[in-house]
Amino acid sequence: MKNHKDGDLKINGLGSAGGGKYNFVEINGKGDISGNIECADLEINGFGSIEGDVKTDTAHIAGKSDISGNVEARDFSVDGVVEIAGGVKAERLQNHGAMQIGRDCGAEEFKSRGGFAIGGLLNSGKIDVELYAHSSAREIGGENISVRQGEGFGFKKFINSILPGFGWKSGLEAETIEGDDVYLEHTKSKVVRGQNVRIGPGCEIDLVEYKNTFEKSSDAIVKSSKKV
Amino acid sequence: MENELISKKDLLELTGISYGQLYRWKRKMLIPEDWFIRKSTFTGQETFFPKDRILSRIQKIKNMKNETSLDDLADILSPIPAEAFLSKEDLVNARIVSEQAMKVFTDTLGEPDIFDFEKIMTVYVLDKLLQSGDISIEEGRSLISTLNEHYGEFQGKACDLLIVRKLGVSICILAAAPNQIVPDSGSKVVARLSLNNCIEEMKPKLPATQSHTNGEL
Repeated sequence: MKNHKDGDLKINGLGSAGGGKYNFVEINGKGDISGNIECADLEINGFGSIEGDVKTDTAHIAGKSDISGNVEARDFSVDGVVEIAGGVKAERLQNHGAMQIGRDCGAEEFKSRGGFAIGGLLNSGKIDVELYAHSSAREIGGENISVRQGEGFGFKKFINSILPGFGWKSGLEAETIEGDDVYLEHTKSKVVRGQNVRIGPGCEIDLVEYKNTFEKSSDAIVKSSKKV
Repeated sequence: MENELISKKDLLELTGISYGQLYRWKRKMLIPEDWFIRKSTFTGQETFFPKDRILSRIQKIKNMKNETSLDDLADILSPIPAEAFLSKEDLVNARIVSEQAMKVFTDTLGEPDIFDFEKIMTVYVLDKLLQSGDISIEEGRSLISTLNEHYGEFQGKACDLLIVRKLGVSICILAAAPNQIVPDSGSKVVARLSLNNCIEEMKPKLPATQSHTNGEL
């Protein structure tokens, strides 16, 4: 995708630009891009708004960004707040902030150390989630799925206990979760299906269907489980 | 049109594949998005598949995945255009399209020096519908110009081609799939084709693209 004939686009301060093909796109400050962009690297620090699709090798979003279309990237990392109305496709996706995706999110590796809301399916070979904020996806599917409570969870619990209704409801919610090896903590779901399923503390699951093994923590609620 | 659906659970049981495999194949686009049909059941939302198509697809993937990498397989199965540049003679001689369909195409758009993937697909779809007798040559012309002008906008996403007739006037429509389209009662959908299926069907017929799969797909 790297093509040195394409120029760079840099917005420092306040600016706007049209979409197109670039080598390096950087927004520091507040930048609006209208139209689809295709580039080698995308870096947003500050406020970025893209009216269109993004296709890039690497994307790093720190700050706050809105993208109205789809995002396709090899490496995608989020350290701030990003709202994507479309879907996301990436090789590796790392989220250390808050990520909202309107449609499906597919990644070979999905790592989250923040919170996310995915309107469609989260599909990934390796889902590695530590919960630091309330997270949700309509469906989750993949090979290895691991959802754990993040450190500092206790601190949040404390905040919640003294400030109820503060809105800090941590945990993961999904209608269905399906994978080969599944480990969940603090997850609420109607159905969890997999080869090997381990349900850790804080979970509320209506139905677990497993092929090989099933373990349940004493702090978890599983309404029914069956071996298929 | 096959209407029989199979639930995801039954599918995995029948084929012996795991959830992880199914999701990986979906990510690699070995299984088209629009085959995943979500339906409400008493246990909540469940996913169903068109039974015949998914079973034969999984068989294909299982057969081929030992020799071919998943990414190569995805290229073969994906609707993204393959590299293909053929001449008019190549296409007719290899019996990819009929001479009649080719004539309608060249009468409409003139004769290009070389047929790229999109043009090949256009003639292929045209040929298919003319052969089946579903459409007239006039409708074929409108199909050619619709695909010529607008197919690029779909950028390889699943799309359906529809020909709708009302009072002897016909309209050619390209619609993103999957979509339910209901015309008013006075009109009739005379043809509806999934272009992705056509591409899948056609790709192995093209010479020089993944020749080892010839006859297999």
